Amino acid sequence: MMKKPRPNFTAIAMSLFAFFYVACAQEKPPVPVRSWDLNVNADYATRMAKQLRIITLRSPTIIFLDNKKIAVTYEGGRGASPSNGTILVPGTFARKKAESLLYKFHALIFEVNTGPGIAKHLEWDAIREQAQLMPTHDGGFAVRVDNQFMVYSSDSQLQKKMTLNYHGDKPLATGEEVFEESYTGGISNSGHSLIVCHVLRGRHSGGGTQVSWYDTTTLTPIGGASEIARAAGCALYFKVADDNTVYSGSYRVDPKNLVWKKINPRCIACPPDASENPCSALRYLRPDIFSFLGKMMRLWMKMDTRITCLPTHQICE
Amino acid sequence: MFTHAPDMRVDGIHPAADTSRVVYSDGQSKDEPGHRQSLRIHVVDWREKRKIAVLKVIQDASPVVHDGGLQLQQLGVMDVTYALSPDGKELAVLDMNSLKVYDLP
Repeated sequence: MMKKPRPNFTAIAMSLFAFFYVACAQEKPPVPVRSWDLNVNADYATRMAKQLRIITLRSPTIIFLDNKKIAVTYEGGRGASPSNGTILVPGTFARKKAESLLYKFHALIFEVNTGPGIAKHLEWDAIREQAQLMPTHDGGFAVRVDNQFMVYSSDSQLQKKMTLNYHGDKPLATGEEVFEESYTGGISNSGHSLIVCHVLRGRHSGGGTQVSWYDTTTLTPIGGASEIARAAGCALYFKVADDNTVYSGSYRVDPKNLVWKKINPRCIACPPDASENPCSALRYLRPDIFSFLGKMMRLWMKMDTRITCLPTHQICE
Repeated sequence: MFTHAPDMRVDGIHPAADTSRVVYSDGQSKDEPGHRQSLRIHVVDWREKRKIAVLKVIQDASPVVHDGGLQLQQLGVMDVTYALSPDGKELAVLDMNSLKVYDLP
């Protein structure tokens, strides 16, 4: 006669304990292991005082240069640009060719273990908004201020610098006046390539976006520059993939094919009633590095969508 | 599978450079008692579809600035910025002038 197996109560108890332990651990808010007051830096303290008393400024940024090194960037000085969250400030939303007052772009760089008390403090004079600090994924970083690009080593020493030309106030090829001109930078995931995006356009027509690829260590150009396309831009979703392909909005270009191409919307998430425009950016399932962002958005925002991959939906090309 | 609160946005998504972890915020601050506002910061692993941590930042309401006969005020919390380390194991949060680093599981 077969003996009925006894339940393994020890295993069951351990499973329940593990389940509740994991559940509790996930719900428990994390506790900071290190905490600092950035006002130990006199410049940051000045900026903080201005933020509280005079006008709201653009928020600082935090960037991990590697797993143990942090850079905090912020703007300071008399002409520091206001935050986009500030209401009723003239010029905040107008991307104009006119230049703001001179301000300082600051970076505090320090080890997570030691804190900002012994930080390396760098600063650059800047005119136009949106200066950038970009990690090169080896502990070093690149900085773009206006039309200047600088590469720094992991010990924050300047390695290379280049200054690109502005078109300036000369009329465009169409005879139109320049409405917007700006440079933006991006670093590839490998850290080997710096991508420079130049936007030059008039208010109504002409001009557009052009990107160029540079070797990060030497700042020498890699290949040619892309065509100038009006459709892309540098501000929203300007990213660089592992193969140096540049994504800008719904367009992409790679160094081997210098023509901007619309990301093929072969798979479009159409709403069931199809009343909305299926070409909106959020409804693409892009076959690229951003696909997970779109999936997450749909997941969390409970967008009731169905995915279709029919050729007839390639209406956005 | 997990879902985000239906009345909140997903904003300010920053992926960790070397892992599938991302950090984002609700994007819209919520009123708290005592004339304060809060913002939640979430860390998730999108590949494993797992919540890693949720952090709530609370600030006093921003000061009202008077300029040119107008009253200006920052909408929402001020100067909250965050980043994940490349390995996704540490989260840095800068709340005004207070910088905190959290170890993540």
